[in-house]
Amino acid sequence: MAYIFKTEKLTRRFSGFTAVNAVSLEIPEGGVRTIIGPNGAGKTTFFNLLSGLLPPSEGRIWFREREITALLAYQRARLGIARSFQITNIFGRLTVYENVRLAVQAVHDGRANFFLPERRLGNLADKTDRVLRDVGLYEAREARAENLSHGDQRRLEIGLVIASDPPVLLLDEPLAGMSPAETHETVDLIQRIAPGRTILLVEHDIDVVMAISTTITVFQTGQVLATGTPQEIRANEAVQRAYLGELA
Amino acid sequence: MSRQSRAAALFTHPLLWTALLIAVLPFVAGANPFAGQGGFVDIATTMIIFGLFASGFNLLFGHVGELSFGHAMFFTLGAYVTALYTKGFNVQVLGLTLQHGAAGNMVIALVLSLIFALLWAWLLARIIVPRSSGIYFSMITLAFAQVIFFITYRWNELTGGEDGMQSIARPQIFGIEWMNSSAHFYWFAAAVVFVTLCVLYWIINSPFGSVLHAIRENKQRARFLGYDVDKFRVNAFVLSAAFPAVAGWLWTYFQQAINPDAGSIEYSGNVVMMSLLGGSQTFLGPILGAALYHELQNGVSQATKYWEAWIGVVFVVFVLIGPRGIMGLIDDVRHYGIANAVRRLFSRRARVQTDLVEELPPLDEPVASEVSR
Ligand SMILES: Nc1ncnc2c1ncn2[C@@H]1O[C@H](COP(=O)(O)OP(=O)(O)OP(=O)(O)O)[C@@H](O)[C@H]1O
Ligand SMILES: [Mg+2]
Repeated sequence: MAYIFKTEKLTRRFSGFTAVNAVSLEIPEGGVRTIIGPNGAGKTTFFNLLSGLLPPSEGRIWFREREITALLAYQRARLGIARSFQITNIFGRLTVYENVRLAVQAVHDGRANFFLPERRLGNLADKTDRVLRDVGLYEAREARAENLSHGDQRRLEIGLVIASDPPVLLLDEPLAGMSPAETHETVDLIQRIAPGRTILLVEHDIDVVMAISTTITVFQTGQVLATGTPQEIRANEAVQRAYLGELA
Repeated sequence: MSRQSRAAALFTHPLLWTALLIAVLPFVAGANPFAGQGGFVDIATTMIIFGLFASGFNLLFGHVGELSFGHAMFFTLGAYVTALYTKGFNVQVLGLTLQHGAAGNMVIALVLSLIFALLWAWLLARIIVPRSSGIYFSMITLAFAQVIFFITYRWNELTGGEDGMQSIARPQIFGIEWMNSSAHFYWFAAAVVFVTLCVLYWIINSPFGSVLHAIRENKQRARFLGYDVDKFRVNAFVLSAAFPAVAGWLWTYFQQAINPDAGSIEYSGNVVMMSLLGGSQTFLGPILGAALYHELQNGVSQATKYWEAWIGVVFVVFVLIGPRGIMGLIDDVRHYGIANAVRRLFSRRARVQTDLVEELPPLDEPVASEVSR
C-alpha cells in the first residue's frame, strides 16, 4: 500500500535522554491514523520530527517516496504537511480573520506580492470566510485571537491547519481542554474533512480514538508497542498491560 | 461598505493624515513658506526627512519586530553617495585611480544612492538575518553601521574625513535654481517624502506586509504555515534600507554639506526614539515622532542647554507609561474614551503588550532546528 510517511530508525535524543528511539514505521495514505501512549511516550516529539520542528538525532524520514529528512519546516508545510500544536499556537495579537487569511495566503501564488493590495488577491477573502464557517468562528472573525476562549483558540488553530487544504494533517491533542460540546463539534469537523486526506492524530480521549481511528499506533518510552485497528489494539495484551488496562 | 463607513475610512486614512501633517508642519513651526527664506521652514524640512528615515527603519522595527541599531548606515550611504556624485572625487585605491567629475543630475544621484544602500543592505541581510534575531541582531547591525561610520570618518581623501564635504549644490530644475529657497526646497522634499511614504504604505498593506506582521507575532507559526520566514526578513531588511537612503539623498541637498554624523550611533538611535514616541505599530507614528522629536529639540534647546537630557526624560516616560506612543494614546482615547485611556496608561496589562517586551525572543523558539541546518 502507498505510504504517506515512512521512517527508518528515527531517533531523537535530548542531552542523553532518548525521547524517540529507533522508530521504523510506514504510515499508509488516507484515513485517521492515531497515535496514543502514556505521557512522555514521545508522541509530540515524533510529530516534531515529521513536521521539521526538530532535526532527528539519527534516522530518516520519507514523505510519499520523497526523502524529507533535511527539509526545513516551511518546506515541509509547502509539501502539504500541516500541523497543530499541543500548546495552542496562533497569532495572538492578530484578528481571527487575519489568522485564517494568513494560512490561506500561504498557499496562494501571490503570498509574497509587494504591490497588490490584499483584497485584490483572488478569492482569498472567500476562502477565508469558508474556513471560518467550517470551524464555527465566522461570528468572531473581528476579535483578536488572544481574546478568544480556550476552546475557540483550539478551533482557530484547526482552522489554520485546514485553511491550506493540505493532504496531510498532524493534530496534536486537538480536543485537549475542550468542553463536551466543543469536543463533539470538533470530532465532527475532523470526520468531515478526513475523506481524501491523511490525518495523524495524537489524542488521549480514548472513546473518540476508538470511534474515529482507522488504525492506532501505540507509543511507549519512545518506541512503537503495537499498530492495528481499534479492535486489534483493544485486544492486544501488551497494550492492555502497558496502557489501556487502566482506562478500559 | 456603506457610505458612512467609507467616509470614516477615508477620514482616518493614514496617508490623508500624513499629507495634512506635511502640509501644516512649516506653518506650525512658525514660518510662512510662501515668504521665501525663513528660519523655521528648515526645521520642518528636517522633520519630514527624518520622518521618512524613521518610517523606513520602522518597517523593520514596528512591522517585523526587529530592532536594527544601525539604520543610519543607509541614511549616510545615501547622503555620501549623493555628495560624492555631486562634487566629484579623485582617489587612489589599491593603485587604481577612481575619479568622477562634478555632476548635477538629481535622479542619477538618487538611483546611485539606492543602488549602494540596497546592495549593502542585501549583503548584510544575507549574512545577518539567518544567523540572528533579537538583541544579537541589534548588536550586529550596530557593528556594521560602525564600519560605514569609520569609513566616512577616516577616509579623508574621499569623504573629507571629520569635516566632511561642503558647498554641495542643490539640484537645478531645467537650469533654474528654484530650490535655493528654503520654502521651495521644503515643498520639493515634501513631495518626495509623501510619494515615498505612499510606496511604503502600499508595501505594508500588501500581502507581503501582512506576512511581516505574522512573523512579528509568531515566527514559528508562520513557518508552519509554509512561509520562508528568513526570506521575508531579508526582503524586509533590504526594503527598509531604501527609505533611509532616499532620506539621505534629500539630507545632502538640504544641508548642502555632509559630515560623518549622518551615520553615527546617535542618528541610528534617534529613529528608534522617534518610532517609539510616535507609536511603532502604526504608519503615522514614526513621522509624528520625528516631528515631535525635532519640535522638542528646538523648543527645549532654546530654554536649556541640557535639552538632550530632557528629551531623554520624555522618552523614558513614554516607554514606561505609554509604550505604544502617541498613536497608541490616540487609539486608546478613540476606543475607550479619555478617562479609561488614562486609566489604561497606568494599568499593568496594557503595559505588558509593548514593543519592548515583544523584542525578547520567545522561549519556545526552535533554536536548534532552524539554525543548525
Ligand atoms: N525540547 C525538549 N527538550 C528536552 N526534553 C524534551 C523536549 N521535548 C520533549 N522532551 C522530553 O521527551 C519526552 C517525550 O516528550 P513528548 O512531548 O514527545 O511526549 P508526549 O508523548 O507528547 O507526552 P504528552 O502525552 O504528555 O504530550 C518527555 O520526557 C519530555 O520531557
Ligand atoms: Mg505531547
